Amino acid sequence: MKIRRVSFILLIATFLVLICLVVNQGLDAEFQSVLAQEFQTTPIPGSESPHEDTSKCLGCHSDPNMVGRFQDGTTISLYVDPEVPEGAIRHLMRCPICHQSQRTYPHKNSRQASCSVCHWEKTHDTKPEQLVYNIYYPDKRAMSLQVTDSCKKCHKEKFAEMADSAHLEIMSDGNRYAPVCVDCHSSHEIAYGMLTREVVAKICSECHLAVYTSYQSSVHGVALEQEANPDVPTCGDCHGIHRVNGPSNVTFRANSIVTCGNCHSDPQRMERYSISSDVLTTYKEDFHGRTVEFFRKTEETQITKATCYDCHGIHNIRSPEDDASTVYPDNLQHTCQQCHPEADITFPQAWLSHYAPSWEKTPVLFGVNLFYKILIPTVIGGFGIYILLDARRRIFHAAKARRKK
Amino acid sequence: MSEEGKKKVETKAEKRMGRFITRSEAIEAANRLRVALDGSRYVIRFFLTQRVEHLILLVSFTMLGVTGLSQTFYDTLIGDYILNLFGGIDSIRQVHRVFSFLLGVQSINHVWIFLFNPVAYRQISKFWPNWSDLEHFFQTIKLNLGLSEQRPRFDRYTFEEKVDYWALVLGTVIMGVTGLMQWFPMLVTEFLPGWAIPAARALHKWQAILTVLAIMTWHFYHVVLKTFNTSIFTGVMTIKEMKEEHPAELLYLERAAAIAGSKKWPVFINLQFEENTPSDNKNNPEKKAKMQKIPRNERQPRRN
Repeated sequence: MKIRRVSFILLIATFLVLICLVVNQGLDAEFQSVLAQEFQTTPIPGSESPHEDTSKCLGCHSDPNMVGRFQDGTTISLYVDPEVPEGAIRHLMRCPICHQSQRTYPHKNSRQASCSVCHWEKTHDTKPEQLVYNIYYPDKRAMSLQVTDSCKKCHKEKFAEMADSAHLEIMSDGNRYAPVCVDCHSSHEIAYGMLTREVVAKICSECHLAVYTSYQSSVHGVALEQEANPDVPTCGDCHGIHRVNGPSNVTFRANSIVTCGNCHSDPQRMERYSISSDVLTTYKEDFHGRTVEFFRKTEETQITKATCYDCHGIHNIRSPEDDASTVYPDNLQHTCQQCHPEADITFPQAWLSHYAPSWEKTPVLFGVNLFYKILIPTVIGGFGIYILLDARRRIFHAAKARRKK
Repeated sequence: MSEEGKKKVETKAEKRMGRFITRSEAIEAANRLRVALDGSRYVIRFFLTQRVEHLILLVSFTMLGVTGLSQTFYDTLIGDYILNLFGGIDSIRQVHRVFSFLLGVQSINHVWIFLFNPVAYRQISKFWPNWSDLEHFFQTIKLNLGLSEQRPRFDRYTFEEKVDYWALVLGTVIMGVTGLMQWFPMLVTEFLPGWAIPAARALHKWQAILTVLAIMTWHFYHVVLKTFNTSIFTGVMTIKEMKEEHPAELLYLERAAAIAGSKKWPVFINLQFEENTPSDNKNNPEKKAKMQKIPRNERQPRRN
C-alpha cells in the first residue's frame, strides 16, 4: 500500500532528524566574562627621553609654593614632585601629552591678574609665601575632566570599554563627579602594577563606602583583608574595572550567574575551600536556573527569577554555615519569601540546595531517577524487539506471497 | 499446519461456549454491521464522541510533548528553536498549561462516557487485561519467530492495543498529578515535605520521555506501519480488516445481529469458532480432502 510505504519513510526520517537534533549540542554556552582585564598600556608614539621636556615644565612647577586658583575661588597646589615614585610611569610621559592646553608657554588662557605674579621681584623684596596663579577652569573638576580626555589618545580600548560603563552613564546624566581615569589611577602617580586588588577595593570605597563596609564583613572581604586571598573576588572581578556595571544593567543581572559561576564551577579553586563545584549545574537543572539561563541566551530584557545574589546576598555574602547568612537553613524561608510571600516553613526544602540528588540526602528523588533510567530502556527496548520481530514476519510473508504469485 | 498447531486449535480461553445477550446488545450489534453503497460490508468500530475524543487527545498530547520536552531539552538546537518559536519560556509554559487543561478535560470526559454511554459501558469489560491476552502474546511471539503458523484470534482490543491504552492512561495520570504539583507548589508544600516538588519534577520529566517514546514507537508501528488503521478517525473497519485483526468481535457481532429479531430475551448465542469451515481447511489439504468426501449438505456446522 503506497500510503504505508510513504508513512514508513516519513516516520523513519522524523526519527533520524529528531535524534540528530537532540544529540547535536549546537549552542555553546557563551561565557561572557566580566572579570577585570589585564592592565594594558600602549607605548607613547615617538617618545624620546622625556627628561629634557619635563625639565622645562619642572623649571616652574618644582616650586612648592606655587598655587593655582580656579575661577570659583578654590585653590590647588601646582607643585609637581620631581622625584618619581617606584613603579610610577610618570617619567615615561611628557607633561604636554596630558596637559594639552599647556603645551606652549605662556600657557593658553593663563593671563594673570598682574605681571608681578610671576615677576614677584618687581613688587616684593622677598619671595611671597605663595605664588597664586589664575587658572582658567571653572573648578578643579572641570580641569580633571578635560585632562582625562587625553588618556584616550593611547588607551583607546579602555575608553571603548568605559563607554559601556555605568560610570559614564551617570556622567552623561549630569553627575560631574562620576569617576574618570584620574580618579582611580591618580593624576601623576599613575603606576603599573601598583593597583593591587585591595587597593582597588579601597579606591572604589571612596564613593561606595556603604557597599565596601558590607563587603568587608562578607566571606570574600574577610579573606581579602586577612590573607590577601587571590581566589576571592573584589569589586572589579564582579563589576568589571573599566566596563563597570551594576544590577541596573540588564546583561549584568543575566550574566551574574556566569560571574559567580566562573569561580564557583572551577573544581580546583573550590577544592581549596571544600565547596561544591556543581553549584552552577545544579542551579541550571532546576526552575530558576533553567529560566535564567534561557533568558541569558536570548538576551531577554527582564529576568524575574532568582539569580545567585538574590538568595546569597550581594555584598554581604556569607558562608551558608554562618547563621547570619541569608541561606542559613533557618533563614531560608525569609529569603524565599522575597518572591514567594506565601511560602511556608517546608517550602525551602523544595530547593535541593545545589546538591545533585543522592541516595543519602534525597532518596525518593534519587530512586525516581534510577527507576526510570532502568525502566525506559527496558520498556522501549522491549517494544523495539517485539516490533522488529513482528515487522520481520510480515515483510517476509508479504514477500513470500508476492513470490508465490 | 504443524502437529502442535493442529492440537492447540481450541485453547482454554477460546473454549467459551457462548453467552446470553440482551435485546439492546443485539440491536447495537445489528446497527454496527453495515453495507456500503458499493455492496462492501463494513463494521462501525468507534462512535463519534470517541473519535472526537481521540482527536483532542492527539492534539493536546502532541502540543504538550512539544512544549514540555523543549523545556527539558532547552539547551539543544531543536529545543531552543521551539522555545523561541513560542516566544520564550514564560509563554511556552502558558501554552503547556492550556493544553494540559484540555487533556484534563478530555480525561474526565473519557471516564464520563464510560459511565454514562451504554455502548461504551458495555465495552469496559473489553479493556481489562486477562489471561487470553497472555496466551495471545505467546502465540504471537511463536508466530513471529516462525515456530508456529497459528494466528491468535483477537477480540475487540488486541493485547497490543491494551498495552497502548493502559500505558497512556497510567502515563497521563502520573503526568497530570505531578504537573499539578508543580503548578501549585505552595499548596503542595502545605501537606507534603518540600522535596516532593523536585521529585514531582523528575517524575514528570521521565514519564514524559517514556510516554512520548512509547507512542512514537509502539503506537505508530501498530496503527500506521503494521496496518494503516484509520478506524479511529473514520470510525469504520472493513470486514476484511475485521477478519484480520478482530475476528472474535466480528463473530460476536454477526451472531448477535442474526438473532436481533428474536421475541424472547435474553438469547444465548454460541461464540465458538468452527474449525471445519472452508477457509480453515484452505491450508490443510488432508482435512480438505476428508471434508470433500462428505456430501455438501452434511458438512455441519456452518457459520451463520
